[in-house]
Amino acid sequence: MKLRFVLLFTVSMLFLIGGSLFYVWSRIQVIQLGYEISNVLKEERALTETNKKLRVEIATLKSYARIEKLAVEELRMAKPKPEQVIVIR
Amino acid sequence: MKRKSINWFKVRIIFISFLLSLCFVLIAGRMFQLQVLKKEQLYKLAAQQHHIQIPLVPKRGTVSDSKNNELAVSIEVDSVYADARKVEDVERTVNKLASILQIDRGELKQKLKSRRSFEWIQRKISSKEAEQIKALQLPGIHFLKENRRFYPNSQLAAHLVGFVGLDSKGLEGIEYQYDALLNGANHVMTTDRDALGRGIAMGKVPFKKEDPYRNIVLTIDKSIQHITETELGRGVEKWGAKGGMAIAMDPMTGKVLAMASYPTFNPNQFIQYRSKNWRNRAISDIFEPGSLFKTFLAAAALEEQVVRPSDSFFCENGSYTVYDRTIHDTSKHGWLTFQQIIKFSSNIGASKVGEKMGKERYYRYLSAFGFGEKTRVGLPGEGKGIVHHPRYWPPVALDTISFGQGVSVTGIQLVTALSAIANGGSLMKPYVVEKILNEKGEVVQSFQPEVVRKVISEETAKKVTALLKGTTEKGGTGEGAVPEGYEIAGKTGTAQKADSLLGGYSEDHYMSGFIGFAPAEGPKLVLLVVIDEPQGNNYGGVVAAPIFRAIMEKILPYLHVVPKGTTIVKNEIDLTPSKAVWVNPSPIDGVRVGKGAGMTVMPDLTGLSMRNAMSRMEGKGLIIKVSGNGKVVEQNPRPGTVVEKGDLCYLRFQSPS
Repeated sequence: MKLRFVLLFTVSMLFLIGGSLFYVWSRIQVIQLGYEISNVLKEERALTETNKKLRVEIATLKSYARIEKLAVEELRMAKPKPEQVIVIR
Repeated sequence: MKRKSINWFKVRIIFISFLLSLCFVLIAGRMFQLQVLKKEQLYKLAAQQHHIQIPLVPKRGTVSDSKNNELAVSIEVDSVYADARKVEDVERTVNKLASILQIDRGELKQKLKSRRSFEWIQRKISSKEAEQIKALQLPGIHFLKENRRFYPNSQLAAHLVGFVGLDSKGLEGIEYQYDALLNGANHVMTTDRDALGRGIAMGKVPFKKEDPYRNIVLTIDKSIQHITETELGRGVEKWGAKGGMAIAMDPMTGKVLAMASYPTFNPNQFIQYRSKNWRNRAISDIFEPGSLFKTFLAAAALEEQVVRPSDSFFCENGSYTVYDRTIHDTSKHGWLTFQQIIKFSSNIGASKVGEKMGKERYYRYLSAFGFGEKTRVGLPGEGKGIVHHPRYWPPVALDTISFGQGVSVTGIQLVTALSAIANGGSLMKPYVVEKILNEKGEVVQSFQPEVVRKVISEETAKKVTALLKGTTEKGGTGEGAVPEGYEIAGKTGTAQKADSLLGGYSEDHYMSGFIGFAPAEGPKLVLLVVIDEPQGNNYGGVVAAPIFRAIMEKILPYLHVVPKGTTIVKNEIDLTPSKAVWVNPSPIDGVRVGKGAGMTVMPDLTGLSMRNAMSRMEGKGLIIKVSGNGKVVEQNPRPGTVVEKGDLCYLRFQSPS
């Protein structure tokens, strides 16, 4: 009778301790993830901004004034005469 | 009697239990006080400590052209400020900062010695500069994120797009007009932090709400705008002129495809230019249109059936006195038909047509074409020109207004009015904004072509087009405006500028212009070129017409209008055979007929007998000249060339033997 009581007590204590440990572990996990989420969000903001800057750079490089200058001055390109044009449809 | 012995053991137990209960009650009471009574207050205190608020810089929407090329973009950049109380070594800080940034040392020193907690050092610096300063880790020097507006195409469409000031406020153009829509609201992102101040996301993830800013898509086409601007700039410089403007419009819809003013400026550094360079001449400058205006006289006279193109007028050999004024022509003419009056741009002829019209009727048409009122193109600073009511016209005004003196118009009015002639008589409301998008890129509002009113009939429009085609033919004033292989309908204009100091007209200050559309049949583009005070020559046909041609010959192929004489071949290597969208409607194998109005493609006739060759050429309206007999050995134009009715076609035959 006494033995059964001790056994029951031990098991329930073990459960209690185990449960508490699990709870603490899960809280730590939540906090860890919280840090991660926070960092990822920060990174996302920075990347979005970098992306935007790169897009501006692309747009700047695609400026027709620049392309025309490169084509005419560096690559010696010229506008074709009408008879040099063949339209392919 | 035996005294009942006191059970001290029990007493102690009771005492301790009581003590413990008291402690428990105290604790519970304190807990109640903290967690229930002072709950709100303490929550607030805690939140202050572990929430951080990151102010997000208000975003500003993008302005892009109709093909989604960005014309104005905002990006985050750093601005440096100093907390002067925390700066340790002023001398060192000044030296370090001044070596990186372009700033005045004296001023900076003063700022750092001011003991104020916030002093801007420099705003919106480049990322390279920011990196360098951050690497120095100067105490008391901090950064703030701010938005900076970038115009990646520099000058392109600068007048139209406008620019923003230091505080992201639109100051000119679209930036000004749509400032409230483009600007997002100030917005704060809240997140939690730990004891060390590191960010940590707890509970609700702080997903940022999007700002309610809008993006604006213009009707402008970057390619057309670039061509227009470049050629206008070249023209103005070639003629040493004071300035110029050019506007390109789609006549069917009223969409402005390009709008250029010269001199121009770079909106990225607008402050370095004089403020007069910022002015969008195309919509705000008013000027006397001169002979350009005869176009609308012709439209009114033909619609009212006052004249027919073949009616003749005596042009007084170049000098015609009306009341107190004598009207001159640049070259002396005797009798001219109405058609020739337009072709040679005779002022006297135009006066006489005007006299036949009468002022009330003429004025009605001028109003109907939109002169004297704003076009409501949707840009700030639009002028409305000056067209007085005929009640106030002096006696000679009817004559002078007939050839464009005594009225003032804006460039956009002229282009809009000519579009009405080009599209068959409907005055369209011009517009520059095609649609407004939200931050996710979904359309919030889109603008559709809008007919203001029907001004002339389709038939009249055709007749006017024929007259305008005449001016660009051989001998006409607008001969120089025609790019090779195209047909242009247009009108030259040369106007003396009103002298603001002396009154009357200036002797040596002219405005030269050309307005027209192409192709004459099925127009795709209406274009106005105006050059302000050219030096050396001032005739619209000499100064503005070649600029018109230069712009047209580059834009038309871009709009898939190929010049006569272009070889068109079918793409033999069909990369997507399953997706054969079009069925070859052409009667000739391997060649597809161009979409242009009335255009046919020259078939390959080599090796055919005369009878077969002739049957193939039948019905195309070509004038065929043959030589020799037998089979075709040579042909001109070459196979695949675009030919039109009335074109000459040579075929050389040779018998095989």
